[in-house]
Amino acid sequence: MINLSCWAVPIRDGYVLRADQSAVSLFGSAPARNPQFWGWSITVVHPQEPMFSAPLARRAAIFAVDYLRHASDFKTFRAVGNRNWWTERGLGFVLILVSGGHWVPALAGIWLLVGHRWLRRLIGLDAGISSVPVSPTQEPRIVSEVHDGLAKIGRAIDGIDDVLVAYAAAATYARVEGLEQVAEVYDSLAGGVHPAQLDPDLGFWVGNEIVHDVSRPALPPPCDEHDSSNSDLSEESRTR
Amino acid sequence: MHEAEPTAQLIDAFVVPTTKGAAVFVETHYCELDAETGPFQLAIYSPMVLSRGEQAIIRSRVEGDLFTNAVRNCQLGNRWFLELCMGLVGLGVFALLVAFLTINYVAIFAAIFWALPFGFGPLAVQALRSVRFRRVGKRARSTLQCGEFLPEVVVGRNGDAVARLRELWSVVESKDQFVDVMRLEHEARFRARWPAAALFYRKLARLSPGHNQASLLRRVIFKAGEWFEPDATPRLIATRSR
Repeated sequence: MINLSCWAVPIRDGYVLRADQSAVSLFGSAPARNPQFWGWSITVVHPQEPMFSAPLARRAAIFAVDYLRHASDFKTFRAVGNRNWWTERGLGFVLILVSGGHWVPALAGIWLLVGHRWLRRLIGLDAGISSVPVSPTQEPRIVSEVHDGLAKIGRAIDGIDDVLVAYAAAATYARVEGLEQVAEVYDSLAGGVHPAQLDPDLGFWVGNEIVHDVSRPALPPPCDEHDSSNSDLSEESRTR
Repeated sequence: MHEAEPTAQLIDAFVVPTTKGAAVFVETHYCELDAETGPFQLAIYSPMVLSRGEQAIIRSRVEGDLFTNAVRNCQLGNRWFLELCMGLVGLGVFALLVAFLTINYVAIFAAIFWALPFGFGPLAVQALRSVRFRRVGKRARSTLQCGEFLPEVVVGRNGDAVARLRELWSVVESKDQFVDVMRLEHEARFRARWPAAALFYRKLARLSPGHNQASLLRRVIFKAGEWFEPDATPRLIATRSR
């Protein structure tokens, strides 16, 4: 299984769920891995022990991770081999220009321009890494764990009355703790953005009244979630 | 934390001091891990107790790093003989061109001479890397094919590593001297005799010039040190407060 992590960033009226940056590299490398490892094990890291209703945490974490999966689908590693593209092509072009009809520089120019790439492709040396879209092949496993840094931040913002000041302070605390991704969420909230209007890049808001009420999950029950993750995402967008 | 699996290959992550807090780096070279030997498991060496959430974040980042590294290296040595042949063909074209430019020398060819290594060099390097690191490529492919990363994190128990880590932390705990990244690098090198940590601090100093208060000459020496030890690249995984 792929071990993913998801931040549950504490805010005044709930949490913002955001997948950790490591999900980008994990999903980026997943197409090259054996599909039997395409299952997800998501750890939701949160500030205090008993804050989440399990169904909701499960849904929200899958949303956050799934968003990053779609965002990273096209960020594979194709660009690695193209680092010298311009120097090779440029020199090849110059060699053809100055060849003046001589076959040797012209041959070298053609070799640099297209020759070696064509030959590599012909003999199958540049076989690309599989770019099959990754989707979980097993039921996602969700667990939650306490994060001390988030707990400190949660306690800090509880003691400040003004919401925007609290978020600004929380951003500072988060940076002190080395939690840059968490700080980005607070920065946005400190700018006056309502949690419901946060950019999906920054996370998904889960309000307090639904966090604590297991009988009122914010979303439909978690059936077929990994088979219909696309529709889930659009459904979430409509809800918000 | 859990006990290490008997067959697991441990990936060592160290929580080391920095000027403002602590940082986590991985010392294990991913290229040396072979998934066919057993699953991977993260072993954390830390003087303070890490919460399970922190462990989970570190584990995810190390896993992402490990498999990204495997994807980057998986083409190395795949059909290395064909790569070598391609390199030889390229070398032949290069030799022909150099002979031609030398025999028919005119002024404009001088500029082309200087540019040739930039055009032909990477092709030769690619072929040489493929042959030189074919085992690394094989291990990377095996990591992608059957590599499993265990979700349980274990406490690092290697005595040498624990002793080195204690030495390093004693520098910041003594509080009788100003500590910057370069000081920590010096202590890691001479007091803890820990080259990986010294390299890590050099890398950290480059990443955060604000922390770097050493002279230009010293920085140049550090930079030069990286050229001599290109394979040892400890990776920054996370930072935290103390």
